[in-house]
Amino acid sequence: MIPAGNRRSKIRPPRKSLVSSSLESSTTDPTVDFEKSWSILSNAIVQIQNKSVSNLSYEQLYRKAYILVLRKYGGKLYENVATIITLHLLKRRDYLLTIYNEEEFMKATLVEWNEHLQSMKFISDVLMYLNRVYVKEHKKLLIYDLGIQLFKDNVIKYNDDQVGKRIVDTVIQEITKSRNGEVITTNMYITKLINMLELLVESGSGDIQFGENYYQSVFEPAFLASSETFFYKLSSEFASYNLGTKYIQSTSRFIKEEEGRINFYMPESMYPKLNELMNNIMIKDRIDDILALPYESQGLSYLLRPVVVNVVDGKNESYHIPDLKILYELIGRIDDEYDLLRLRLKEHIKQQGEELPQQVRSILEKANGDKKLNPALFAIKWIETVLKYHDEFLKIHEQAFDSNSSVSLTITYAMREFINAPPTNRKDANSVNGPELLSVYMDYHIKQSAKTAPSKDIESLDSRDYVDVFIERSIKFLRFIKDKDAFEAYYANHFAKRFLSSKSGSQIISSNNKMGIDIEELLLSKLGEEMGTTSLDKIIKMNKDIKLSKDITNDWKKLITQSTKKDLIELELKICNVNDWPKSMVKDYKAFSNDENNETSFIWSKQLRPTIREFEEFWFSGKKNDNKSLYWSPKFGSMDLRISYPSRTYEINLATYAGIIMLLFAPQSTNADGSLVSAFEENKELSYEEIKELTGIPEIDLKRHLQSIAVAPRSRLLIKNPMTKDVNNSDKFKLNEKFKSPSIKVKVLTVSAASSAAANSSGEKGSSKAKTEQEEEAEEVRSNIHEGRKLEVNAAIVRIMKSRQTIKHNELIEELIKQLSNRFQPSILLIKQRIEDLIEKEYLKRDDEETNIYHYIA
Amino acid sequence: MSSDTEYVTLVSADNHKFIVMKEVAQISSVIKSSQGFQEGETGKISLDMDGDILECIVEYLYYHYKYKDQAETGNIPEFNIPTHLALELLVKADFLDI
Repeated sequence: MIPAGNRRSKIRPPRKSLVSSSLESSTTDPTVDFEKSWSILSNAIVQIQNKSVSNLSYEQLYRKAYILVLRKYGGKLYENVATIITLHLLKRRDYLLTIYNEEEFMKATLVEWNEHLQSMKFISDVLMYLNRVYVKEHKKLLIYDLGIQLFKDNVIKYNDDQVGKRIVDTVIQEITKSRNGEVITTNMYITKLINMLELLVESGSGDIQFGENYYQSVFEPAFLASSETFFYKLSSEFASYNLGTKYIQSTSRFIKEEEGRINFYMPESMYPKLNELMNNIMIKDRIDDILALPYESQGLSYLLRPVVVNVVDGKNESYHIPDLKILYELIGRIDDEYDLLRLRLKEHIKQQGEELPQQVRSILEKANGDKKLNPALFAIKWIETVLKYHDEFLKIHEQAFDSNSSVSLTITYAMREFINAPPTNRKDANSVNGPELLSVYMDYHIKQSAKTAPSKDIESLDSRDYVDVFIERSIKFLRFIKDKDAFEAYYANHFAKRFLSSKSGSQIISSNNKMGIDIEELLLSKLGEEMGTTSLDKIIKMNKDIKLSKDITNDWKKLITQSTKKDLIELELKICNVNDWPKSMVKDYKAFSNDENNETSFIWSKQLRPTIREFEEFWFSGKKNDNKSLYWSPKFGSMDLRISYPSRTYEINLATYAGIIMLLFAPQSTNADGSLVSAFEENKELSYEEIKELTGIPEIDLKRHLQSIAVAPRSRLLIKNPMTKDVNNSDKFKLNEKFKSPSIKVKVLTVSAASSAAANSSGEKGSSKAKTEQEEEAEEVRSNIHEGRKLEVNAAIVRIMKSRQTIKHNELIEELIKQLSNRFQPSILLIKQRIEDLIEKEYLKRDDEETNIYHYIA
Repeated sequence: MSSDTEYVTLVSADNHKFIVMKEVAQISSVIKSSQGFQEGETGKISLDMDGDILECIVEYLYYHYKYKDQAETGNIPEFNIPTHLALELLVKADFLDI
């Protein structure tokens, strides 16, 4: 019984019944004659090979083979079939070798192959029973596969691969033609021949791996070798143009075409191999040289040049987007991470960035003529240039670099590097102090926005925008700055100066001021968001002082309007807590106090003394001010004086020192009727020495302010005798009767310390001294930063030690750098010094045995 | 070529003719292979077996054809083979590779 599910019953019939049944069924000779059957079968095979299949009765042939197999002639039949096929193939091979035209040869080979396959199919049909029984039992190749083997051995590989080599060579030749841009007509043959070669499986003898086919064992190595040569040749040809853009364009085009070729002709397994070969030879080995080509040869510097040109000269050159894009794609082929591109980009950005200061400087100098470069202008221009540079680079990044995030990081890092150039280069004209310049930039814009706001009320919206834009830019720039602590120090300094030198008094200016403070607050909150409020602690406290000062100013105003004392003056108070304000400003706060028995102690004008006394009383009566002491700092601030000149009465705003000097010339005596005599009637004349004695103003400042009010042409309130530019100890001063000014309000601009010194340079050493004042201030800010860092490092070390208790030196340094890097870049030297310091102070100690281990001492 | 026709004729040694759907007949790979040869052109395949055997084989072919999709589930009736023909059928089935 045959179970229904078992479709192919392979049950071999019992021998006995087999014999009887085949004897019964075989109509002719009961004893099977092998030779006779074979001659019929071999004839049939020849006919099949001659493509005349339809005359053959399959059933008869099949039965012949069937019987032969049953009669145990399987082996013999198998061998005979192999022989007859071999003979046939050898003939066909000879025929193939008579064809000389390569295209014809390819075509004929394919014809032979296809016909062979076709006839093998029929032969294998006829010999199906042989396949099923004999082949399976003896683990031989199926007839069809035997046919393929025989084709391989007797056509392709016969006589030392004669035909095979010719096929391989021809195919490679044709592909090379195509690579050279020739149009070839053999496309289909190539594909099919390669398919054929793939079917020719090696039988697994010798050193050839089993299952490997002719394509893999012969064609592929030959093809890869020839491709390698070709790629080398081509890439050196491209390189010989010595033109970066041309190289990458040609290479990119070739690669695209080659990819198309590979996919068209070759099995999938070829793509990665050839692709790697191509990438290595044409990109990896060359691209770095190409990138490094000089500007004239259109390397990377050429491709990136327009950025600087556009940013600095305000031109609108188009970027080499297509080429950069190609470059990006090419490099992407060899490296997912784009390491090389990023490295080179970084170098170029750094280099370009380092050029920017010089470029900016020369542009400003051109615009300014020979005049000395204004540092604030430079800061503004530089920062805007850098930001624009970044914007432009981001455009390229977006258009050419696929907005690759790691590339954008690289751009940012590269920019950081040139913005945070190491301090060793700072003396160099091309190096810049990023943190300081940012602070200058912000300072300028804060002042600027305060100036424009009130005069253009209608455009207040615009000024809002202006503020927003500049804050946004500042924050953006801040992100590039590594030494945030340095920025804070500079910012604090500017912040303090802005507050201390802000002039008020008139309604307009005070509203103006309010606007300014608004910006300050806005900025503070933005900066807080950016850097965290703890690091802005000092500035926040300073801001608090400012608010307090305002309240007190208002209180004082109320007080004097109610007070009966007539000689009290309105005060605009600026009370600063010395701990929080920059040291460079508050260091000598005690120098002006009256109770200090100081030789050069400052003398307030008698007109002011009642107010000062009254205010001190008022201030100390405040509950909050119990434990505080109050010092006056006349070197800051300003005064409004109303002075009646013969021409008219002017309202003059001038620095406190200058005001004090002017008050010396105020009338002292009264007329008979009790009214004050006119100052001009008194016509007081005071010598330099007298003024110095009467005011106690430090000499350098005194000279400066005398210059401001007696030399500067627009604010010559006093006449100096003799009339020279610089102020000498023997000079005498009196009121300028002829003083005239177009408006009632006059603002005396204080001569800058540097130019005052320059004017005085002929006379004294004061020059060098005064000149150093600015440097001194800068020096102080710098040392402040340095001191601040020491504290921060110490604090960080203690923090780390507290949690770890014991730590190795290297781990400690690593951890420190990690913790501090968002504030500044600590140098190893600094860290080492701080560790020593803390060991000295017995916060930590070295391990007794291993010196590179530290222990925390609680 | 008549190989496009849907039926083939199976002829037994004692000249019984069975007209069978080609699709069904081709369950036998031998019959299937024969289509490339003369038999494909004539649509007639002479087989070296008696009519009763061939009848049984044709029946089996149809049976197999009908239930081929349900073979997996096993939910199919049994195919009855006349006992006296069993051995002979076994041999012929081997011959036809059924």
